Amino acid sequence: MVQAVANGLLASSVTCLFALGLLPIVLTRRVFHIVHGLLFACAPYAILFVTNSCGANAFVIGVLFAVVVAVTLGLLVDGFIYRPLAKQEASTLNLFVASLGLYTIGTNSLSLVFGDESRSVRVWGLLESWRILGARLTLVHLLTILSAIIGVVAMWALFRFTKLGRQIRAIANDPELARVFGIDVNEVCLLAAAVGSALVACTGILAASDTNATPGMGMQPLMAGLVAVIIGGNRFWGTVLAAFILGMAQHLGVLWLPTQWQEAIVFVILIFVLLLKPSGLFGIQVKKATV
Amino acid sequence: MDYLLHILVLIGIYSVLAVSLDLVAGQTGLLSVAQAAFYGIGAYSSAIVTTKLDGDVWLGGLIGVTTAVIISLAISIPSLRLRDDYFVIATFGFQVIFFNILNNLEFTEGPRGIAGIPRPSFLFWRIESQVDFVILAVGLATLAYLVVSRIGASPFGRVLRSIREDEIFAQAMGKNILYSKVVAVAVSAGLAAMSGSLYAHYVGFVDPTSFTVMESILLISMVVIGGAGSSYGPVFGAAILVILPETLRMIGVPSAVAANLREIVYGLLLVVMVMFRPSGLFGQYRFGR
Repeated sequence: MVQAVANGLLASSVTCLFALGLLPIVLTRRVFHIVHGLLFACAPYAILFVTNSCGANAFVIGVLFAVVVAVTLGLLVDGFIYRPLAKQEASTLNLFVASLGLYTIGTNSLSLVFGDESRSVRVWGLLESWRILGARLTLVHLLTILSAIIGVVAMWALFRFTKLGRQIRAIANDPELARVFGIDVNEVCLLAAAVGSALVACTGILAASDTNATPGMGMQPLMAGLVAVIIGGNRFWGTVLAAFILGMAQHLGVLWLPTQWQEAIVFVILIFVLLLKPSGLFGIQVKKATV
Repeated sequence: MDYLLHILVLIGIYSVLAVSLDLVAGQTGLLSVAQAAFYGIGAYSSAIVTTKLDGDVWLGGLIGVTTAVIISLAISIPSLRLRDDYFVIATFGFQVIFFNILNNLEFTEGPRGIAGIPRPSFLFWRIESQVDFVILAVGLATLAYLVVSRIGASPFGRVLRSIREDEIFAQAMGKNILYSKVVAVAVSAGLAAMSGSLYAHYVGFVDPTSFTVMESILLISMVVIGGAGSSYGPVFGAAILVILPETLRMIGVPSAVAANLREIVYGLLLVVMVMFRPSGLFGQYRFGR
């Protein structure tokens, strides 16, 4: 039971980090940013690339390289795909389809280069797991949970205290008005993409350090992350809370349901929340104009 | 020659799917990522009814279509009351859950799939040869095309297009948009299920890997590339996207690489089309407004 709680906490941490990286991009570009799941997978493979070429000691360099790769890709996608589409006044549907196409290209490219089998990025040996309050956790697990806490604090600070954060919130609220006030929407979107992509790279590395890397590893966290953002009503604490709920529900639910239904739990919760409170747990009640 | 006929059957199957998706995505403007799931419902219903329950081909098809329609209602009614974006996510989720169900349920034989699905026979006509299947496939494709284009030409079709163009205006004119959307999704699901039944009887074997998110994306590609909103656009899209991987195979690409390459091509086409020609090759409607 305690182990389930611990696993839930771990899953929540990953989802939370993923969703927090997703948030700036979703808030500014208003797109279901599927590519985020691709970047999540790219980061571990970037490390693999470095450690394969330069040896296991280059792990740290690999990490840096992975972040650079992820940020570059995120910037490229935003600058060359989302920006022109936004200029064409494409709807969220168009952006979603483009994102989906890019995700397909990316994951299959990873498959082509690295193969479909799961690869290990671990350059260390088997980690001992410690018993903490009755649950078994390894160093990586603890690091992940710690990172999530740090991530939440950092992102909160970003949104609350920095100029970038304020600009993102402004654009999320009303892009036209933000432009009127002199905010360069495209520039903010790029910065948001950079921040989000860097964050997801770290998330991917942490996740791959625990379980191995496969090209499609981003799909599951992507679902959970997207659902967390939606249930959270596109708001910061809503997303954090939603990520926590989703992670816990998935792993506590396993106590009663067979493990295969884990993914389904995420969407059942989504449908549930959408039915009861469509604006999300914390979302502001903005009624779509109806006659 | 047999190979050519096989391609024709595939084009027929995928035409039904693409045309049915066009009704929802192209005419009504609702992107659905669950079309492969409805396709799968039809395929598995036919498979289960004709193998495990020893039922008639007709029965299998009917159950498939009915199940698909009912499930579509369960998804569309709650999510369409909200923003259209949520419908997309709901269909995405349903597609994923559906695949999980297929893969994990004992009743559907999990990853092993169901084999030994018999050839269909309708009353006096036993379908055995490849040519028979081509005739059946073309027949069903024509049926689907007629259904969708008739709907498109009707007043109901005009309502759907008005929903796509300006939903609030449609509401202001007194149209029940929820009802229209739900009906469109239901018809689309039913047609997709019909195609699934055809697929099951043609291949004789179904397994979960044919009904994944990627398959849904492929169907979306067919609509986007062929042209959303016109009835014949998706048919061309289906033809193009069926023939393309076959050409790859003929160039002699090794099969391990071919699958990934094929999906990369789909993704590429999707991105290129969305960015440079959202109305697709033959569509009248700029997909996504």
